[in-house]
Amino acid sequence: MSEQKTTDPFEARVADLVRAYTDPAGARPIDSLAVSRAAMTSARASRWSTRRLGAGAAGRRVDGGRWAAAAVAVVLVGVVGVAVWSRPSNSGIGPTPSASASSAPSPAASAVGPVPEVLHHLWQRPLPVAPGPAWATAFLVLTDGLLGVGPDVGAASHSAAAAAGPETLVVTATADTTGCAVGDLGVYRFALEGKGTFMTLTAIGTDACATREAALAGPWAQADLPPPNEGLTLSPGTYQTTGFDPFTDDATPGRLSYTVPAGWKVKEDASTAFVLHHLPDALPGQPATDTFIFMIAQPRLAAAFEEGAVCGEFVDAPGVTSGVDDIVGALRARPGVIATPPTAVTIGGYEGTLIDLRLDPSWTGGCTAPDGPVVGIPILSGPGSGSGPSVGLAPNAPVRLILVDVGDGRTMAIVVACAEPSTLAFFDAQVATAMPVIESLELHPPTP
Amino acid sequence: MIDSVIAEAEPQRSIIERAIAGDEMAFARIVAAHHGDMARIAFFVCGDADIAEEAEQAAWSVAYRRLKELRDPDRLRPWLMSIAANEARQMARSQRRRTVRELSVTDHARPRDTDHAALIDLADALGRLDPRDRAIVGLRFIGGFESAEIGGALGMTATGVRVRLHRLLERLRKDLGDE
Repeated sequence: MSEQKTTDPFEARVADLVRAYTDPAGARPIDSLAVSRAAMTSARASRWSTRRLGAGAAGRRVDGGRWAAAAVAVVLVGVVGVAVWSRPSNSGIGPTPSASASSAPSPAASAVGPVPEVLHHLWQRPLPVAPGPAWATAFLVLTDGLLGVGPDVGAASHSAAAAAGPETLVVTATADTTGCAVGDLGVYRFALEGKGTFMTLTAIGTDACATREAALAGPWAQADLPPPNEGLTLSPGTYQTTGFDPFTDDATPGRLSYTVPAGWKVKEDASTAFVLHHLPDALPGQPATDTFIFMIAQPRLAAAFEEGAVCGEFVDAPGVTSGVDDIVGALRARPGVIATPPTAVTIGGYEGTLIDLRLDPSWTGGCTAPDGPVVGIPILSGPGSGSGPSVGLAPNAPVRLILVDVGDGRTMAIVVACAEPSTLAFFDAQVATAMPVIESLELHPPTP
Repeated sequence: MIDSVIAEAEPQRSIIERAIAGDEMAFARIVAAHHGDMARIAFFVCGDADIAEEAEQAAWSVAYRRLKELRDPDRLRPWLMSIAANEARQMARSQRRRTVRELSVTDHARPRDTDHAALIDLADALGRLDPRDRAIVGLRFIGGFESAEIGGALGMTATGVRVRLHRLLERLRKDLGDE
């Protein structure tokens, strides 16, 4: 089922403006073959990278009919968000570069993997002891396939990066910068000290980009503790949130640790919302089977829609606290909601209640969106006005809700939901995927 | 070069297969055919021409690496644009820049039939959005994506995209003085 194309004059105006705004970018001439070569070179150098950027669309066909036909209930919309329902080198990018021969050792035979995770940090030049002209520092950012170095975080020059051995990095310039041409190769040995918080980079041979060598070689100190992981596909293991605090304590934030097998990714790690996304490879001809786990600090019960309501931000249900029993009781009593009996659970040593929720198939209530009526029921909204993901029920979109009492009248909500409409059997499979992760959760209270 | 790589007509599936096999001319034809869309979406999300160039190049690398995973050649354009949008988001975030204010004033860039002041308002409005929201708007209005496709690209539910887009348009409506 296709969405109706808008006839809204304002949207037509926005479309015109967007087109005009991006015309210069779209018209920028490139050397397609040079871009192609740079891309192929870079891709080969980081072939083993585990990055999954664009994976939402890559490698799996999104079945528009299925998506559009469904109204899935849980929505991640970032720091400011709400969920409702709706009806159904040699780069040629930039100035044409000149071919650049590298005098560095060829990585072709040994460029075999992503940058080791121990290096995935923001690094900073250690400040000199005495103030003076040498006070200027520099920053280095390393991810599994990218290196950025520059005088500040916002002015980094980027290179593709890959491991070429246990202590060796191969970097390939991805853009022309001062003294550096796309495709310029450099090979570096890295040595970590202490608990991995200090690193020394040493050029092996000569970097084809002398400017980069001058910027990279030498000592670095880790500038981010703990490492940011938002947006990264996680290797199997145990991690800790860097932003999310289940205890909503601004002064001394608590944290949440979790253990994931392969295939999970952090979609959001904000102070009041933490979202894990499971993106398994789809089988040919099969739809994607994304699963989301949303964790929301201090959720509030969202008020049900009144008749004739216009779809928009959820409003709080009056007179209902964030307490586990209050929310569970109100949800079970809400018309149109089918809930399983509450089950007592323990999450990371804290007591909670688990219920599965789905929309009564005969339910027709909801709200009105610009393109028509929407069937659904609001469930939860995040803490603070308009912040955090919100949760609702829609046809064929069951959710599992676990409310955990984290003490002092505070609650953490854990929600399991699918990205696509699902049968109960399909949902059960998604829940089975998510539960081991949920059962692994450990809550770390604020430490004054 | 651009002309030479897009001149011939060849079934897209065949071009993709040759590119997967390592044929750089075949991949160059894909680049030539889709650079405009990739550059537009990257710039729209970043709001910075330099970052957008880097994002587009990075997106082409990702696309080449993952090209064999594209099951439906007819989906090449949205698949590529999704990658570009995500690379641009990633880069915009890592750069910690929110400089969606860049407007070219050169003649060739200046739209003939569009109020330049409105473009400045648009750039200002985009500057107040985070990269994901810009990606939502960009994929909709540049790529013509449906909500489900945007959701697939950005890791959101289709419904979430619809609602978010609705809210973003309301914001833009205010920012562009269209109330």
